[in-house]
Amino acid sequence: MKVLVLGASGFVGKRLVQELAARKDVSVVAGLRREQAEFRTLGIEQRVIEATDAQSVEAGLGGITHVINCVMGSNDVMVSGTKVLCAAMSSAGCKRLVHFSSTAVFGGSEGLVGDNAPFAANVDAYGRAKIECENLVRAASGIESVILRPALIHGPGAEQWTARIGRLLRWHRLGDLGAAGDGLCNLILVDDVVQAAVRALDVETVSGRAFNLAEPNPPTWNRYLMDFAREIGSLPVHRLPGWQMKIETKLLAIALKLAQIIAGKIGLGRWLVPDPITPSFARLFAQEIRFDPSGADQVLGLKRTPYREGLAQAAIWFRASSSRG
Amino acid sequence: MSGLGGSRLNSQLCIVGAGPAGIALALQFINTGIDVVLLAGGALDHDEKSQALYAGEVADEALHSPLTEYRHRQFGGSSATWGGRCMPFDPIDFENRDWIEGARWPIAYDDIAPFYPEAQALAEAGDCIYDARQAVEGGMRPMIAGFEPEFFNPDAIERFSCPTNFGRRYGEKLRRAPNIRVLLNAHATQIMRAEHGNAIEHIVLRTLEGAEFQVHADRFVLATGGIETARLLLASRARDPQGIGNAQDQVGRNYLCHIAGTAGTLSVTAPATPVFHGYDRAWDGVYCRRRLALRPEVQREKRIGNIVMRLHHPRLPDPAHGRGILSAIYLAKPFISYEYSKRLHGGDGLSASLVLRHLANIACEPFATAGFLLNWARRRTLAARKFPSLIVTPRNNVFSLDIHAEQVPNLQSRIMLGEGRDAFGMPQARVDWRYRALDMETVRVALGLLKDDFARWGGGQLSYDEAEIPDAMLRDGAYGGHHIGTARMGASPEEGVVDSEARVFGTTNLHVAGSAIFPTSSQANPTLTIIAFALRLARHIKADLQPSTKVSIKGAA
Repeated sequence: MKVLVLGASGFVGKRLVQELAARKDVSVVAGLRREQAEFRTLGIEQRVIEATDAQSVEAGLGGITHVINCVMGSNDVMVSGTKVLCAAMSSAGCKRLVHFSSTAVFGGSEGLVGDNAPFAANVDAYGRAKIECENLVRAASGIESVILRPALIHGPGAEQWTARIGRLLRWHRLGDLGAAGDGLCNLILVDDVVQAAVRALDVETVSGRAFNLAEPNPPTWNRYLMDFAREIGSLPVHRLPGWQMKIETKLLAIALKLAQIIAGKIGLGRWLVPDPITPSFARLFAQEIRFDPSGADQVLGLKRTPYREGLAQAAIWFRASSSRG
Repeated sequence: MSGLGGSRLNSQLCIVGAGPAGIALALQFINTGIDVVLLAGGALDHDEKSQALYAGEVADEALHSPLTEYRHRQFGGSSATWGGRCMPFDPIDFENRDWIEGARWPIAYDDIAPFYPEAQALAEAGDCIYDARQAVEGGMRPMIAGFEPEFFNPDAIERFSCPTNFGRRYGEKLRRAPNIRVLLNAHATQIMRAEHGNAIEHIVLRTLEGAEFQVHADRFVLATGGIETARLLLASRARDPQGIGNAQDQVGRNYLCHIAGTAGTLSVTAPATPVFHGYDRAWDGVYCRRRLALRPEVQREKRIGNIVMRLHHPRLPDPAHGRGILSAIYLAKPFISYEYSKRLHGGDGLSASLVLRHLANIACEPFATAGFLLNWARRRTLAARKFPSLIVTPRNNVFSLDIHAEQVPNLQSRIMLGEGRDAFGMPQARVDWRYRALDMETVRVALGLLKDDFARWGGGQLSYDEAEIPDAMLRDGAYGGHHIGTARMGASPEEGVVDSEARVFGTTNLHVAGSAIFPTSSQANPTLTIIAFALRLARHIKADLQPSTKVSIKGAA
C-alpha cells in the first residue's frame, strides 16, 4: 500500500507520516505545500501539492493507492480541496480515501451523538464546510472512503486544546468556571487519532462510513480545566467569577481577535497576542454533548489512551515547551 | 405558575423544597427517565411576599432569632445566605453514647460516609480530605507552632464552599433536564394521605396569586428545612388529626441548633512562636482552616458532647483590641446583613466615648485598615470563591476562642404550630428552643481541658470566667441557621419520625431530606451532611422507581 498523507506538515499529518514511515508494509508519501527538512532527514518521500489545484493533485497521486486527507485551511480551501481530491482519486484509480472531518458537524447539539446521527442545523461556518466535505466524499465514485471525526485533539503538540488551554490556565483566564463549565469536554489524544487513521486504511467497512473519535465518558470542562491546571502546576485553580467571563467574551475577545489579525498582517507572530476567549469558544464549556465511540472501538479496534494518561502526556509536553519558549 | 388553577400534576417523584437537599436530590435523577417535579416555595430570587410565609412565633426572643431570618424561601433555599463551612459528621456522632440521653442513630457512620465525596463535589468544597497534614500539598501551616495538645486533635480542619448558591449553580442544569420539571412559587400547604392505606396521595399547593393545585406522585420527599418540615407535617391534619407521622407525638421535638459563641482569652507567650489562624488553600482553590477538635476518646471519658474550637480575633465591641479594621467593621455593623452582623452586637449600647475609641483605632492604623479593605474587596466581594471570614491578626498573639459545640438531644426543645396564620391560612410555626445542662457542661469541660493542654505545654495561657460561659454561649441564642432533629431518624416510631431510609413512619411513600432527620447535631455544620443524606436517599428511591415511558428524552439521537 502506498499512502499519501495530504496536509503532512500539519499537526496530525506530521504525526501520521512519522507513524506510517515506521511501518514496513506501507510506503508513505508526505503531501505538502513546502518540503520539510525534517522529512528529508528521515528519508521520507515528499511531494509538493497545492490541494485546490486539480493538476497538482493529479500529479501528486502517481502510484498512490491510499490517501489520508488532513488538509487544514480556510473553509473554502477545505471544500474545494476535497472536491479536487475526490475527482482526482477516481480518475487515478486510487483505492481508498481516509478523510478527516470533525465533530463540529454536530454543531450545538446536545445529548449522546452516534456515528450516524444527522448533522445539526445549528452549525457554524467551519462545521458547514466540514459537512459539505463529508457529502463530497460520500458522493465520490469509484473509491472507498472512511470518514474520521475527531473531537478536540489534545496531547503533545496540540496547539488548540493543550497549549492554548495551558496558557489560559496559567494566566488565570480559565479555571473553575462554575455553572458555565458544566458542559462535556470531548477530548481525544493525538496518538489515538493517528492510530484510528492508520487502522482506517485497510479495515473492512462500508464505504462512506464515519467514525466519531472521542472519550466515551468525557469529563466536564470544569473537571478537565482543573485537572490540567493541576498537571501543569498552575495552582491554586481560580474560580472565575461570571463578570470576568463576560469581559473576556464581550470586550476582550474582539480586541484580541483584531490584534491577532493586525499582527498577522504586519508580519508579527500571532503568538505575540494573547489568546482570545470568543463567545463560541466559551459556549463549548456549557455544551452537554457526548459522542458514542463504539463504532471506532468495534470496527477500527481503537484502543483509547485513558484520560489521565493522556492528560499527563499533554502536561509533560506543555511544561517542556513553555519553559523553552 | 399561572394557568395551573385547580389542576393536577402527575409525576413519579415529587420533591418539596428546592434548597441544597432538594436540588442535590433532583440532580441525581437527571436523564434517569424518572419523571420528577421539584417544587420551590418562592421565586428565583428573594421575594418579600414569599419570605413572609416563613414568619412565626418564638417563645423566647432572646434565645432564638425570628423565623424569617437565616432562612430563604426561594429557589436555592438558604444556600442563598450560606457561609459555606463544610465538614462531615464524626464517627462518634453515630455511636450509642449512653451518657447522652436520646443520642441514638439507627444507622452507622459507614452508612453515610461513602456519600461525602460526592456531597463535597456538589458543595464545591474540594477533596474529601479533613486532615491538615494532607489537605494542602506539604501540609497546612500549624495553628500554634509546637503546641501538641493531648485532648484535642490539632489537625482537624474545615473546608469552605464558594459558598455555592445551589439555585444559581444548578438551576440551568435542572432546567435543561428533560425529565425534571421545576415549579417556582409553588407553596406546599398540605400533605394528603390517600383515603385508605398509608400512602401519601398528593400535595396541595397554593400560589400567592390565588391558584391551588395538586401534585400526585409515587414518592414524595420533604426537603423544606428543619422548621418547615415539622410545620408541614403537623399542619397536614385533613386526614390525620395529629398531623402526618405524628402518631407518637414526635414531630417537631428534639429541635437542635448548635451551642456556639466566643469566649476566653488565649495568650500565646512562647517567644518566636508563629501563630496562624487564617486560611490555607488547597490545589483547587478551596479555603481550608484548622480547628481544635475534642478527641472522641476524651468525649467518652468525660461523658460530654462533641465540640470544636477555632482561634478568633478579640471581641469586636471592645476597642481595647487596638486594631483599626476590627473597629471599622464594628462601626459598619448597620450595613452588614442580619445573619452576619448578629455576632457584632455587643451587650452595651454604643456610647459616644466607645465610638471615639474605635475611631481612634482606625486613625492609628489608616494604611493597614485601607489595605485590609482593598484585599477584602478583591478576595471576597469580587471573587467567585470567597475568602470565608474575617481574619485579623491580633496584637501580641492574644486571641479569643470561637466555639462550636453539639447541642445534645432534647425532646422539650420544639417546633409546634402557633396561633398565627400565614397568607394561605396555614398555621405558623412556633419555636420553643431549649438547651440542657449538659450543653453548657460540654463547653465548660472542653475549655478546662484546653486550658490544661496549654498549661502543660507552657507556651501560652487560656483564661476565662467559668460563670460567664452560659452567657457567652447564649449571647446570640441558638446558633442561627442550623435547624436540626425535628423529624429525626429512629429505629421505631417511638424513637423518631423517619426510619433508617428517611421514610416517615406510618407512611409508605413519604421521605424527608435535610437536617430535620438528624437525631443528633454533631459539632459539624449541617449542610454537607444534608447533601450526603440527600444523595443516599436518591440512591434508595432510584432503586425503587422504574423509568417512565412517558418521559421523552431531549437531544440528538
